[in-house]
Amino acid sequence: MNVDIKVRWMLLTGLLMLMALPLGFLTDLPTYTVNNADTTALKLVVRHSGLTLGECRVLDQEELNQLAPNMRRPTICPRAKAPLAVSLKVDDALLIHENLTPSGIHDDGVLALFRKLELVAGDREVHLSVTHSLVGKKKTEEFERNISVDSNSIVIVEYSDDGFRFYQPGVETL
Amino acid sequence: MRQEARIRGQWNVMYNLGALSFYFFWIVAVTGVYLFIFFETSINGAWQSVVSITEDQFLVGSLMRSLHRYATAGMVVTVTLHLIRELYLGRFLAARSFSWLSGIPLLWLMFASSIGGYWLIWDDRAQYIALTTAALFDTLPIVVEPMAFGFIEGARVSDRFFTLLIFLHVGIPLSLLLGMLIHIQRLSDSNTFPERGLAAAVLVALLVLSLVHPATSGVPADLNKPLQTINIDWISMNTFPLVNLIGPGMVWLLLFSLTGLLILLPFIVPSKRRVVATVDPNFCNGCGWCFIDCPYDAIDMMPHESRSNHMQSVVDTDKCVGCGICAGACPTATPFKSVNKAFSGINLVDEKNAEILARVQASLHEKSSGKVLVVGCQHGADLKHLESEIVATLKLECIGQLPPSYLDFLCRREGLEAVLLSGCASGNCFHRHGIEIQEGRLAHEREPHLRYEDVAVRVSTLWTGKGGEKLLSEEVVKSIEAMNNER
Repeated sequence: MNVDIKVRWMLLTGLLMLMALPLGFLTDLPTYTVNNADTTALKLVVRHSGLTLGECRVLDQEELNQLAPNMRRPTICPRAKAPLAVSLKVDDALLIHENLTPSGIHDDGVLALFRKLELVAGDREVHLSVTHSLVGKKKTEEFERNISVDSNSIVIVEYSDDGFRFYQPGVETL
Repeated sequence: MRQEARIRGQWNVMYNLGALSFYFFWIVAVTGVYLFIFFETSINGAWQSVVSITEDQFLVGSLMRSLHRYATAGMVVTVTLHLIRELYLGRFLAARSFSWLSGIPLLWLMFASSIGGYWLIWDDRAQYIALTTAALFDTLPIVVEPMAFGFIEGARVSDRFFTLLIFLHVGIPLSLLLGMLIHIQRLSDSNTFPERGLAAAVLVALLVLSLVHPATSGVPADLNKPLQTINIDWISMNTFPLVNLIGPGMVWLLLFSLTGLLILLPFIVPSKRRVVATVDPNFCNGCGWCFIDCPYDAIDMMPHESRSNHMQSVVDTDKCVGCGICAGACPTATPFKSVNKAFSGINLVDEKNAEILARVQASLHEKSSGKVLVVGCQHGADLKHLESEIVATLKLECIGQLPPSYLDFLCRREGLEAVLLSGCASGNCFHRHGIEIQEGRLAHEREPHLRYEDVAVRVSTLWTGKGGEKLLSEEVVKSIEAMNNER
C-alpha cells in the first residue's frame, strides 16, 4: 500500500464516517409522538362465542328416514351463530358501530372486534350496546358506566362470554 | 495509472452496493450471535438483558449492539440504493429479470428482520412496533381474532411470546440469506464481498459511529400505559407512522402496489431488441474459454455435435444478455489463419466477429498513416467526436467483446500505430466483468492474450464511463504526440 493509497483510504474512511453519522441519528431521531399527552386510550374488546342462530327442533319421521341409520338423531341443532351489532357511545356521541359476522366457514366461530379510541381525559359517560340477531328475534344487552379517566392511561371496555367489563389495566376494576 | 483506476472503482461505494449489502449482513449475523448469547427470552428478562449487554460489558457489549443496529441500517440503505441504481441502469430486463424478481421478496424479509430485532428489546419502541404490527395484520382478512388482543394489557404477554420472537428473528434473516444466494444464482463470480480497503473503511466508520452515538434502549414497554413520544428508527420503520396517518389498509395498499409495480416492471418496460450469442460448431474447438469468461453462466460445455471426443460450447439463451464477452474469448477469432479468416466459434447474432474486423479494416483503410484506433462500448463515453483523418473508432456491446488477436493483427498488418481501449468506468462495467477480463487478456493473465510485445506497448486503456469524452480526447492527443515524438 503506497502513500497515495493510504491517503485515499483515509479520505474514504472520513467520507464514510460523515455518511454514517446521519444514518446513526436517523435510527433514533427525530422523536415521534404516538398519542397526545392529555388523552386517554379507550380500547373496545369484543370476543364472544356468539348465540346459536336458531333453536333446536325435532325431526319428523319422514326427515329421519332420509338420513343414514347411524345419523338418525331425533333433534337437529343449527351450528351457525347469530351476527352481532356493537355500538359504543361516549357522552351520547356514537363513536363505534360495527356489525360482526361469526368467523369460520360454517359461521360458527367467534365474534371478535378490537377498536382503539383517543379520548380527552376527564369524566365520561360510556354506553355499550350489543345486539345478537337471532332468527325471528333480537337479543340486546346494554351497559353504561360513568367513569373518570386520567390522562396517559388506558381504559378497556370488554364484552365476552363472561359478560361485560370496564377496567383500567394494572388498576382496580372501575 | 491502471492500478489507481482499479482502486477507484473497487472503493466506489456506488459500484459495490450489492457487495456492501452482503458485508453488512455478515456484520449483523456475527454481532447477532454475540447478542443472542446474553439475551433472555422472557417478559422480565428481555429489556433488562439488553440493558445489561449495553452497560455492564465495558464497551464490548455496547459496540456489538451498536454495530448490530447500524449495520442493519447500512444494509437497508445499500439495498435501497442498489434497487434504485439497477432500475436506473435498466439492469432488470430480459435475462437479468431473474435477479430483479428474486430480489423483491428480499426487501420484505430485510425489513421484517430489521423491525423484528427492535421488538426483542421490549422497550417503548418495541411496544409501538407490537401495537402497529397488530393494527396492520388485523386489517388483513386472514385473521380470525385480532392480533391486538395479545397486547391489550401487560398481563396478556407471556415469556413464550419472546421465544416466538427470537425464533422469527433467527428464521427470517436465514430466509433472507437463502434468498440472497438465490438472487446471485445466475451470476458467475458474483461480487459478494467488497474489496478489503472498502470493507475496512466501512467497519471503521461503523465503529466510530458506535462510539459516538451508541445504541440505547428506551423505557421498558408497559402495555398498561399509552405511548406518547418515542424514538423510532426512521430507516427501518419508515412506513409505521403512515399507519396512524393514513390507516393500515392504505399502508398495505401502498406496499402491495409498490411491490406489484416492481414485479411487473420487467414485463411492461420494453427492452431493446434481444441479442444473444450463438455457437458455430464448425469453428468451436471446445477450449472452454467462453465458458470461463461468461459473467452470467449462460454457456455450458457439451459433447461436440459432429466430432467425437470433442467438446463444444452451448449457449443458454434464457441466461444470455448478449454482452459478447464470449466472442472476445474465442481463440478461433484470430485473423492470422490462412483460411476462414476471423471466423470464430461463438459470435453475437447481430454482428459476427469477422464482420467487426471487416468494419474496422475498412475504416482504417480510409485513414492516413499514424493510425489510431479508439475502441469503446455502448455503455461508455461517446466516441464520434474522436473521428479524424488518422483516428478511427469502434463501438462494441462490451469492451470484453474485442478479441485481442484483432489488436495483434491490426497493428502488424494494417499499420495501426496506437490503440486506446475505453468503456465503462473502472469497477462499474455494465456487463459486470468486461473491463477486468480485457485487462487480463492484455496483461497475459488470461486467455486469449495479446501475443506481441511491440503491440502491447501501443495499447493503452482509459476507463471513464459515460461523460468521459473530454478525457478521451486528451488521451488521444497524448497518444498522437507520443507517436510523433517517437518518429
